[in-house]
Amino acid sequence: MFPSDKELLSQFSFSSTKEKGFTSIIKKYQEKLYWHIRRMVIDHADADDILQNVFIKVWKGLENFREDSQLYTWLYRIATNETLSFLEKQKRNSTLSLSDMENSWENKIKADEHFDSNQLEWKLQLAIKQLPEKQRLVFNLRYFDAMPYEEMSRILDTSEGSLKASYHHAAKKIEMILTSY
Amino acid sequence: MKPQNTILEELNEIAPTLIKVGKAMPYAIHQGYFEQLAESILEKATFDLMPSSENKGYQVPNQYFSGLANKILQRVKGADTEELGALMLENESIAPILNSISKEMPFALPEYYFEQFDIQIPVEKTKVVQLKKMRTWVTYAAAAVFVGIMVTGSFLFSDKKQEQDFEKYQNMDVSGALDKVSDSELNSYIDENHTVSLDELNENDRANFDNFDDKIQSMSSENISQYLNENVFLENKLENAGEK
Repeated sequence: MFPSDKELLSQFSFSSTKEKGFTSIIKKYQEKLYWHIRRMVIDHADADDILQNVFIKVWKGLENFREDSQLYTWLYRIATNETLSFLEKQKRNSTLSLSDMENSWENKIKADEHFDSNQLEWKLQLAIKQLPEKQRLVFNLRYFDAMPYEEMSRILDTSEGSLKASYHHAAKKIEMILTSY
Repeated sequence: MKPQNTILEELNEIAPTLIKVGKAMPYAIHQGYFEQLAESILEKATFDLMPSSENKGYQVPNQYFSGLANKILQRVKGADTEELGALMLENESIAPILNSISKEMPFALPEYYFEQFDIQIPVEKTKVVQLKKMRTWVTYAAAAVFVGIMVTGSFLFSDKKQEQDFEKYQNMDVSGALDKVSDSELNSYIDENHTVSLDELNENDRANFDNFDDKIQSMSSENISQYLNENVFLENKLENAGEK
């Protein structure tokens, strides 16, 4: 079991236990944040780079972290921003058209060594990739992380109502895609 | 607990035939039984708490049991069951197929990735920034001192030179030096440099003043007094001219 966030933040606030506290924060949240990023960028190397950047930003900004918000929410916010910036940069630097980009995402998924076109989990991943970026983000946070809309609203700066609508649209679309396979 | 030998002796006394029987269990259990035991007990325990679906008095939501295993798995993993339950109900109403898909990530992951994940903690920059600042200030201060010394030095040097030149020229015998210059050299210098002699200057002044005098004579007294009132400084000049 990991120590509570409060305990970890307290460790981080003392110079003698700062690194220990930070390492524990990494250990506690690395897996959740990694999968949150990887579901969006697909490629492991990209996800790893982004995760490293996220924790470096956490190290630099944790001293100014206001404890009135949850550490978990704050970390997700940084990870989301880093991921969206990465995708934006990738789009800017790419010479591919939108449809070619979509094909490229599909190819990335299919290139995974565990890919099995008959497996429902992979079909779901292919269906998720057909969603618009923001809808995909909302769907992932709700479906895989079971994140409450209230918390999601703090991460994405969007009203709970529109997040709920976004998730419903996404879920219906995915169901439609999955049943058409 | 009795030692093994004591047990055997005891058994030999009570029922000697039992010693000949092997202790291996003849019963078969299915493979992986013990690995899945904890999960199946938990599932059973939760199931026992629920009312039977055959009981007409109670009803459970559609697809409730299809998502149960996933729900229990998430509970074992420490997920927020309350939110997970809400999500499952939500999915049930909009896209029931989602409740039947495992949430395990199917992607390949390098071996021991999370165990070996490490961050190179950035070096504390506060001290470096201070040092850098100090260095910058020292550099600027040194540069300022150097420039100051150079400027002051050059001023001192040039002032000294001017002073020396001034002393040199003050002590110079200009008339004597001019006497040594030949007439032809002087003439050519004057021609080339369009110099005006002091006498010429005085002559021009005088001529101008004479003309000025003639003009005053032809002016009316009123005009002159008005002009003088407007140009008071000329009064002194006229007085001086009158004295000459």
